[in-house]
Amino acid sequence: MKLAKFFLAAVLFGGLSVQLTSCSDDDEVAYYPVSISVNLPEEVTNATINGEEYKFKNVSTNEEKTFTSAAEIEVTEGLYDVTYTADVTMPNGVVTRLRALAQGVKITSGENVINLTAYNTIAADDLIIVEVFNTGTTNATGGQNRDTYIKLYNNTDRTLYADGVSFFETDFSTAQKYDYDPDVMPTDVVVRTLFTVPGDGTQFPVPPGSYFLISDRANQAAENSFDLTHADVEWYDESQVASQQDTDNPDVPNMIKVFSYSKSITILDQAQRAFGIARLGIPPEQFLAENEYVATYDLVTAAGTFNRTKDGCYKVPNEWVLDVVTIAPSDNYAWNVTSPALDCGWTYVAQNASDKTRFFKSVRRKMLYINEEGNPVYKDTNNSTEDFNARVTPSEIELQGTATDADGNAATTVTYDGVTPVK
Amino acid sequence: MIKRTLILLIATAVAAPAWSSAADTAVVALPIAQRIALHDDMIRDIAGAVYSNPSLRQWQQDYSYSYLSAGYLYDCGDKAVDVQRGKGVNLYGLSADSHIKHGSSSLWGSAAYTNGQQRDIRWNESADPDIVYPYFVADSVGGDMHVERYAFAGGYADHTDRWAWGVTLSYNAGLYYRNVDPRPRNTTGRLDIAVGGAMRVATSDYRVGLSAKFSKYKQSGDIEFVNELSDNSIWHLTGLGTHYERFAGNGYSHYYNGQCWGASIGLLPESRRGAVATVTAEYFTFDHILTSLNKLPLQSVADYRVSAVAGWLQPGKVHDIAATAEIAYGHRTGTENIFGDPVGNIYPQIGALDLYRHTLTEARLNLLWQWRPASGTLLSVNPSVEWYRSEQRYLDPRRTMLLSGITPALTIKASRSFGAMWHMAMTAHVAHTLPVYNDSYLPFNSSIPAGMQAVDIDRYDILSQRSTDAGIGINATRALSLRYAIGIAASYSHHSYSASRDTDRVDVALSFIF
Repeated sequence: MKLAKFFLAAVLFGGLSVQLTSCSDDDEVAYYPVSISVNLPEEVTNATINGEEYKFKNVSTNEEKTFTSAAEIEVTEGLYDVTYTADVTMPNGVVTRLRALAQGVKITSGENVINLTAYNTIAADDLIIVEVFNTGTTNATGGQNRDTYIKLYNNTDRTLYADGVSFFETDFSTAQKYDYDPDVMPTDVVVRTLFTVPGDGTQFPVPPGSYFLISDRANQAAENSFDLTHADVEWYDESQVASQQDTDNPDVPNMIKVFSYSKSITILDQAQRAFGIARLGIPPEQFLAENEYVATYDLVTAAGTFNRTKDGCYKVPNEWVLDVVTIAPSDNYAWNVTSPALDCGWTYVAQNASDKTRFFKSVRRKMLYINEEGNPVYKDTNNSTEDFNARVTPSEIELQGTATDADGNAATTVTYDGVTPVK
Repeated sequence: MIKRTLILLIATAVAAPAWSSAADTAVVALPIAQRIALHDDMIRDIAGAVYSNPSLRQWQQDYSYSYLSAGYLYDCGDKAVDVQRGKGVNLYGLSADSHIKHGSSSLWGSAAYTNGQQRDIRWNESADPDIVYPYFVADSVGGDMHVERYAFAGGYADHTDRWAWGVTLSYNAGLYYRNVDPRPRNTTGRLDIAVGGAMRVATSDYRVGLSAKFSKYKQSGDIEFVNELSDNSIWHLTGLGTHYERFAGNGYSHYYNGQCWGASIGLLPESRRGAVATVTAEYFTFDHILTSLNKLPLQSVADYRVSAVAGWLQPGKVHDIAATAEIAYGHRTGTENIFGDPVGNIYPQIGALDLYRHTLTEARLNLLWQWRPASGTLLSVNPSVEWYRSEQRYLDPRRTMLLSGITPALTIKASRSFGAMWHMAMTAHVAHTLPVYNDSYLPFNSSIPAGMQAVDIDRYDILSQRSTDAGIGINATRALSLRYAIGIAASYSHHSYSASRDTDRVDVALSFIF
């Protein structure tokens, strides 16, 4: 009996001990200091920095933490996208904004040092991309209509000319990251498609507040599609594959095909590329001769690591680039495929590479305000995340009141940017 | 159909030894009507934890008792208390259970098949939520889930005057699926093995026993969307309204892989008269793997639980008195692995963060008084009071939920034999949960779907208020001979929560007892 009582007491004591020890449980997550330095562009070395912001976005959780001083940065262990922005007053009084981006920064329990290179984001003085409709529409049975387009806009207060503007699609996928060697991203964009607007420099004027429509096929409306015969230019391929031939609207000028990855017809990627416009500083022939890009990279699979060669693409120097829009599947974004100087963000139309709901959707640049001339002024901060409305109804569908889905439900509203209605 | 036939065959096989066994003691040889009356004795289960040691289970009852049963359970409400577990279930099942005494040996076994539906589960497409929480795979649509469960268990124990030993083996499997989008298909399997030994303490009536257990758990899941134009977003939840943003929309194929180790030490008088006590410790851990991302180990859980039960049993000829006190403590840590930039489709792991914590503390005092005014008549009064404290925390961004309450409860059971053939039992119970201290910090995060965040906010609003559970049950058996009987049991209970949330539970079963 004594033993039974002793056992009973031991059990109760044991239970209480468990409860007491629980009070010492550590319930804090560790924060680690980060040392960060920003390399400023030469033109702002004598400027006054009015305000700085360091934004740490946790890639795992999407949580953002913002710091206004480099000295106070402490974050938890993880993988981060780090953005730096600063408002700067130049010696001549011009106010501008600096921006820097570093993606995939590992923060660990050890020493964390980040070096950023900042770029000046003075508002563009040339054409900008206001819409990319890279998915197209489908008919009732699911067949894809070739009605994709890119819409440019004159956001300035003077007439611009689209002559010589080249439209490109990057070769690198935004959903699949590889460490390419050599890494030319700080200086060039690697492209797989390049078409140039023809003209002598004055053939395609774009007045302030006007659009310039680049279409795949400038065709009349098909089932669930819309009319594109009013396009300013179209890209046309002289296909080398007999079974896949392009159509040509003789009333719409064709773009100059500088290069395309396709030997037949050039179809825009529908989910995972960046699109941009540039003014080539040299003739196409010289460009092709001097700017070929060949790289190696490791393909890592469950079966092992294999060294691969990347070729069949070209480099467009960053200083020629006018604008870039980065598009990635919302569920499979991996990285930005251009320098942060061109685009610090990304937007999307598809949730993943096989998303069947991507059709009838485009990305459209956000409208800021209507200026005194009655023209919309669009947001342009070289950050596609902030500058674009993702996955919205394309402008041509709105303007022509055509189908917004495969069932043929017609668009009933017209907006400036897919969100803000035209009153 | 083949599976169900198989289950019936196995169930019959489980019970068959009891059918054919020859009783060799006076107690074992009791007529079925008396064994049914003995089985109504609540003192048999009041110290149930001590029988988790298979070597001590042979003293849980002195008689053989087996049954085949078919039943239906409806346990559902208009609104869910916890949407991740659904509004409830309606299930029908077949089961067989047998406990056989033969000389110094005891043999027991069971088999069960359950089929039915879990109603209106939201923000969770994983099965066994109480095992794999907080790491559910979820979508915003949800719906009813078809359920099929299979359970098999068996055990053997024997003893000499000084030593006792025993072993149990059980396997539980489940299939959970939905035939409309989103279409999850989860298969679960759990294997439990326990071995135990006990020795007599000197020349006393007491046996002190040690046991060890091991469990293997696995759940594999796939989610499919047939309609390609539907919203096919999925999320990997991380607890308290958070999710692993980076892999949202990925990982439609996944699995949980876990194992559990446990041990216990217990004290039991063979006569079930005197002190009983047991301390049990378990350590359970599992990994959550995304198969479709090259078996990416997304999350893991480490969970340990310690419980201690001590009590005193004082059976008598007319009056029985028993009291037990129980305290239990559990702590679960959820770890999210961090991955660097993928190279190809391989994500290198660069770290891990322990972000989720759950501590659960429970204490329970259980009293039992039984009165036998006449042979075959028993009145049982079982008052109890239970206190619990459940604290969940997500460390960054900080979110917390603390729930605590005290639940006084009373169960009254009256049973009586009518002649040599009939035996009836009636049960009534009532329990009322009173909040003690509740607190939550669940701020709205605009980057997270609102429905996902509402899950825990709603759950807190309901469980932080009073609730009452009350019910009645009746059980009637009729002996067909000295060895066989049939029985019918029915019970109804109503659980009333705040915010007009009520659940009703109806349980009916038809049994063949032998």
